[in-house]
Amino acid sequence: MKDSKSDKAGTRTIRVGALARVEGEGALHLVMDGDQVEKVNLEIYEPPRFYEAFLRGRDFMEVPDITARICGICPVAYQMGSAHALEKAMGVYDEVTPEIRELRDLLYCGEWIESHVLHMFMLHLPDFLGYESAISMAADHGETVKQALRIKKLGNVIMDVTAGRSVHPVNVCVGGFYKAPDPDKLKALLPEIEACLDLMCQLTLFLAEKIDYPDLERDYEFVALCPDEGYSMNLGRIKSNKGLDVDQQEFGAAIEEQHKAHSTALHSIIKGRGEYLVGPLARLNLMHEGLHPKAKELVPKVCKLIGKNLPWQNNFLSLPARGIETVHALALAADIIRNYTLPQISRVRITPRAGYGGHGTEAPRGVCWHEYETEDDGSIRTAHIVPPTAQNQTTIESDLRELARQVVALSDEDAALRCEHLIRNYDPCISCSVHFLKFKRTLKS
Amino acid sequence: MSYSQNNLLIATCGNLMASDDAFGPMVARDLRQLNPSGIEVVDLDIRPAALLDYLPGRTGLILVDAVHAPGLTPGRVLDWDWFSPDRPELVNDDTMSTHGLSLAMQIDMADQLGMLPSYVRLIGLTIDPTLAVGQKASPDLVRNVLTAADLIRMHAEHRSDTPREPQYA
Repeated sequence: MKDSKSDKAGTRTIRVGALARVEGEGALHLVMDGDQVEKVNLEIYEPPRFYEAFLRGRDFMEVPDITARICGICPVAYQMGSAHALEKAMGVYDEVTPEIRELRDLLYCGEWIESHVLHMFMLHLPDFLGYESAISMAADHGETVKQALRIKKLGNVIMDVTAGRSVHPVNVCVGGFYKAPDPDKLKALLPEIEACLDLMCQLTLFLAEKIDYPDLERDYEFVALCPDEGYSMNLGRIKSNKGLDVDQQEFGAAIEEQHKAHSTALHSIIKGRGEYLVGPLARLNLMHEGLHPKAKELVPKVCKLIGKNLPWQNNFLSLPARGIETVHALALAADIIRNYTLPQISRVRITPRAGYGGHGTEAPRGVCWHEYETEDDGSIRTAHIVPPTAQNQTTIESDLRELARQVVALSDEDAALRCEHLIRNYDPCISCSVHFLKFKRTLKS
Repeated sequence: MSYSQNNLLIATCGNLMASDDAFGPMVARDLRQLNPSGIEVVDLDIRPAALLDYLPGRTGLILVDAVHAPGLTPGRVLDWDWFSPDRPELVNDDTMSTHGLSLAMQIDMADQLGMLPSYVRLIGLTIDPTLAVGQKASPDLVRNVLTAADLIRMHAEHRSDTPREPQYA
């Protein structure tokens, strides 16, 4: 819903009642004086859900199943963050076997595939191709949409076979998996994975070739997990392109979460420096050398079609970045399944103890960091979760501040659409961040 | 013409932790307890965007969800042909849900792509839009769940083909 009005001083206000195609509830308020932007507020008003509070006192083994319910789109991210952090608290982190770690990557591949494809082709691509929604886009690009749906479904199936179900998987536990997935059932997925991998390579080139991406280059601080090898989903130090380089446990101390009057979600900054960006663009810029060879060979082709070499400083390019990451996830899933045999153990044995653990993993939208303190009996003393959308909020507002200068001459409706389009670059999950969007622009002159 | 029932999908949706939004998942539980033959029950939970995954090859679909219906009092079980012009207006942007791609949008998209069964029905429970995550369910929720499950069994047994022209054809 959009409306606009003028007040007695000649100011103009534009409202967008709810931002479509993002998760959760929020609003945007711009105040402008001529072409100068006075205020940009991303007003997240979805009520807090107090997960960190009601985790207190629960047994540590319950945590992955509870945190999974923070989000319907990225439950695996919340399970992986809590499982890794609590393994540190319980002192078994280094005992987790390589086979269990590979299964965790496989599960994450399923979530990346499902979440990325949903976002790219159902929620974001209509913006770039000039359609109101994926429904109207499907009339002209039906085959593309069907191909995307096929790949999205495969992501769900990978999660289903690996972890019992795709929405809020039930097989993940602290220490590994309750039961190792059936090798035959996983290997039966290989032909479809290989077919979808070829399709996704074609679709990624389509995204690079057919879209004229808006120009909004900014000097971002990109933050992502950076392992010594590979393209991380679960492991690695947390680094940035501007000098951040911390162990997983230290990340909480490196950032500062701030309350803002206009948002029920906390805003994160790097201490002493300021805003930063997590998500596909950050990962691709920092870790592209670690991509699976199938995805890596696509990068120069995509760069040539777009006309920009890495690092990309324009978050509208998060769309092809997601395409490349989806190719990576499909190729990695195929490799893991080809090599998979039933492991000797599906989880490590844990004796409850008092402890502390902090760990982040790469949710589709970026680093999702958890920390927990436990009591002697393994119950949760404190819980702290830093979701990716909350970390990106300040950066989204800065992007909007820059974009607002470009759209000052546009009509209220067109300006609102451009702002919504920009916000969708982040695939924001407001439901997660409060553990989004009304648009209001006030023009003072 | 009568359908073979095994192509009938019952797709439920909702959040067990959000008061009466638990309606859909609770109906799924009830249906599964009796293990009815000929129908497949899929609980989409709080990810309704997965509905399209389950549509190819279906001849019938019954959607089960909590709904905001302006003008209707909370606590009513709705039972409508999805495409009936008389079906009450529903509000898609549910403050308690995380519906990134709403059920209504997916129905329209499936229609656009030729994937939509000709039989689509909504079993909905009208809920109070001010209810929030963590609040207790209303006292009548269990009774309404049983009513809905009975309606679904009845439709599964007696539904008949009513060919419908795709909206976007």
